[in-house]
Amino acid sequence: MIYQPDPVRTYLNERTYSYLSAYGGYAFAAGSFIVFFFVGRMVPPPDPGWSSVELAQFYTENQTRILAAGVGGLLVSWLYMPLYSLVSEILEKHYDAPLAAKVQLFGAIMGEVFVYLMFMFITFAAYRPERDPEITQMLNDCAWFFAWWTVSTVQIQTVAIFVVIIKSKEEIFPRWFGWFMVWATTGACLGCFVPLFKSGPLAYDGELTFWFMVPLYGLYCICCSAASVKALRNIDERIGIVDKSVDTDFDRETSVSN
Amino acid sequence: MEQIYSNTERRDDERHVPGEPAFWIFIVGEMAMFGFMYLVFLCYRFWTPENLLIFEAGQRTLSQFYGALNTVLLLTSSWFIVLGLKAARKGNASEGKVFVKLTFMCGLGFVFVKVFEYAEKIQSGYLLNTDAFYQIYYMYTILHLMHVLAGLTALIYLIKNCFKDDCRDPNNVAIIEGVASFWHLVDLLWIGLFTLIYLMV
Repeated sequence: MIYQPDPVRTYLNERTYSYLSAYGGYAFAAGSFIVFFFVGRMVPPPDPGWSSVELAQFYTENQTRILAAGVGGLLVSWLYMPLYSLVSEILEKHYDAPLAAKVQLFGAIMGEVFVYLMFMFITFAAYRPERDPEITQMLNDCAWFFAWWTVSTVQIQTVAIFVVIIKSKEEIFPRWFGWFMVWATTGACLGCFVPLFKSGPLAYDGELTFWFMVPLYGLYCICCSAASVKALRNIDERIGIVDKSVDTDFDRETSVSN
Repeated sequence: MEQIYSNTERRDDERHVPGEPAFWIFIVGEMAMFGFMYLVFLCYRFWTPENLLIFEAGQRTLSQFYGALNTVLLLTSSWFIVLGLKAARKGNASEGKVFVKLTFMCGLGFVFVKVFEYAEKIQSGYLLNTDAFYQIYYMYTILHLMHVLAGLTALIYLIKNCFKDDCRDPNNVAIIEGVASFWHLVDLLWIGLFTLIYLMV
C-alpha cells in the first residue's frame, strides 16, 4: 500500500513550529532595525558620492561597531527563511498552488542570500580598512548593491503571493495581504534604478530609495508575519482546533457539574 | 464566508466602497507613495538656490502643450470609463464595451504622446543623468507610465471578459469598479505630476 500523508496530521505535527515561523518576520524586522540603527549606526548609509579615501576613513573610525553590526546581521538574517517557507507551505497545501509556492520560495532564498551577502561585504570592508581605499570602496558598493538587489527577489515573491490570493475565493490569507503585496511590488520599482545614480533621491542613500524603501521592507516583513499568523488561525478554525482561551459551552457545563 | 464583492442589488442612493474593500489598501498605498514623491520633488526644488535654478531651467525645457494634451486625454478617458461602468450596471454590455474601448484608446494616446516627448528630449540631449531635475522628471514619469501600462492591461481584461450578457453580475461589476478606481488613480497621479513638473515654473 502506498503511504499517503494525512494533511491534517502533518499540520498538527508542525503547528507550533508554524506559529514560531510566522512570528519570525517580526523578529527579523526588529532584529535588523536594532542591528542597523543602534549597533552599526549605518543610518543613513555612507554617501555614494564620497571619495574612496573618505569612505576608508569612515570604516576606520567606525570599525568596531560596523563589525558588530555585521555579526548581528548574520545572527538575525536566518529568521527570514522559516517565515517564507511557511508562506510557501500554505500556498501549496491550502491554495493548491505548488508552482507559485516554489516561485515564492525561490525568491525568498535569493533574497536571503543577498541579505547575507550585504552583511558579509560590510564586514569585509570593515575588517581591514587600512588596505587600499579603492578596494574598501568596492566592497562597500558591493554591500549596498546586494542590499538593493533584494528588490527584484521581493518582487518575485509578492507577485506570486498576489496572484494566488486574488485568484482564490478561499480566504486563508486575508485578502488585504494580496493587495498589500501588489503595492509592495510597485513601491519596490523605485529601488530598481539605484545603480543609475550616485546622488539625488534615487541614489542608494536617497529619500526615495533608502528612506522610503527600507521602512517599506520592514512593513512588508511585518505584514507577512501578521498575515501568516492570521492564516494559521484560519486553518486552525477549519480543522476544528478551538482556541483554549475561548470559554465554550462544554467547558462551562463541566465546571458547573464539578 | 464573508461577502467579498459589492452588490448591485443595493438601492441607488446607498453608498458603498467601489470594487473590493481590500483593494483600497493598494489605492491608498499608491497615493501615499506618490504623495511622498511629490514632497521629495518640492524639497529638492527649493532646498538650495542652485537647485532652484536647475529645476526652473529644466522645467522651462518641457513642453506644456504635451503635458496639457496628456491631461486632457486622461481626464476624457476617466469620463469614458465612468460611462462604461454605468452601462455595465444597467446591463448594457455592448455600450459599456464601446466606452471601455474609448478609454483604452485615450490611454494608448497618452503612451504615444509620452514616448514622442521622451524621444524629443533625448534627441535634444536631455538625458537621465543630465541634472537633478531630469533625474526626477524621468523617474517619476516612467513610474507613472508603468501605471498607465498596467491600467491598459486591466482594460484589455475588461474588454475581453467583463462585457458579456451577464455583465450586471455583482462580481463582474466589482471588477469593473476596481479597474475604474485604478484608472482614476492613474489620472489623479498624473494631475499631480502635471501641476508640479510642467506648470510650476
